[in-house]
Amino acid sequence: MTELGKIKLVSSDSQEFEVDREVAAMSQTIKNLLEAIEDENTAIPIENVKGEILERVIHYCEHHYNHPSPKNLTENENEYERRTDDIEPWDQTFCNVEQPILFELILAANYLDIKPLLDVCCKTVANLIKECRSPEEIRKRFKIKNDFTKEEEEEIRKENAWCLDEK
Amino acid sequence: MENLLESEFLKTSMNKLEQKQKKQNTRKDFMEILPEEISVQIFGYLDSKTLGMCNLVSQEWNRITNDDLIWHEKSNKESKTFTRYRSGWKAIYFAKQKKEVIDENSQIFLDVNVTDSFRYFSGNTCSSHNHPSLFAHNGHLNIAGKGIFLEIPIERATEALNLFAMFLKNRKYHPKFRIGQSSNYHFSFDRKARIIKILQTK
Repeated sequence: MTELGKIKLVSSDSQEFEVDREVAAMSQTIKNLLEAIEDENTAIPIENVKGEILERVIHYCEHHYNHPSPKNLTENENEYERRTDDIEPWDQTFCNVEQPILFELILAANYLDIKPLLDVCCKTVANLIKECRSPEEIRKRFKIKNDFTKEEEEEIRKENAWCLDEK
Repeated sequence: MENLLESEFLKTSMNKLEQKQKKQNTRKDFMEILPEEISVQIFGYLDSKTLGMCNLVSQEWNRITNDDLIWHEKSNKESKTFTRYRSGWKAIYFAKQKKEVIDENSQIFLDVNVTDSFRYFSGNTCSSHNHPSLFAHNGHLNIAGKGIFLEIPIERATEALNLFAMFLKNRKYHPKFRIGQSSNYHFSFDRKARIIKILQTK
């Protein structure tokens, strides 16, 4: 039996988490599931997310449930302006994790449909790219293989000369 | 027996393959892990300079960072008049950046439908170099394509288009030209440098 107002989530590796119903409902996916499920005590399997990641996601939801951030004004002001320097300090710390974890968080946020989490993780990745000063630095940071031929690279380099010399 | 051997062999080779894949997984870049729309979202946060750099990272990065959606948004930051997705946004973006004049001998073909208020223009998109598009943006009528970018105040658009026609006629180009609601304009002309001049003096 789960406590009143709580639900049970089960990760892909069978770890169980008891979460406030309302906290869990920050995930649109779970919210939809909850509306469909009649028995309050049914454990909800989160098949695509490992326990380690689910725990972090719950942590994120709990924090933001208890500390609702003021409505994002910048987003309403100009929907085309996409900033990455507006990540809250708590979120910055939350996203300051190894790359594989960050990417799994993105996948989980996408699957569970938690838009603020998805956005903040994507912004973090964008910032990781922005910090780089050359294509080579990007490759190193994300362990990407350069699969261009010399000629291809030269061609694109010419095309993009305007952004390479000034940076 | 043979079957058993075979399956054992298959099992071990499958295991090996899995291990190999796992090893590779830890080294894969996010583009291969994340769904494409998320990569597009990430690149959407980047400024054009950083995007240009990403162009050079790998084939896959090159493909996605040339994605039209990303450049659409960049080309379109202040304008809310666009509702439809169009192709060739990177070209438009660059044309805007460079404000460059293309060489006199190249040809431009315009084939556009103009809606009544000049608020929205549909027609040929600027997917190929010689095919600029005409669109409303930020209170201006814009003609953009690779290497060309004209900006005309909306209220002068009709005037400007008439001038276009006159200019072309004088040079023995005969554009199909009608003014009116949902008219169909068809231009075929060259020597863009001069056209830019005329539009700007008016």
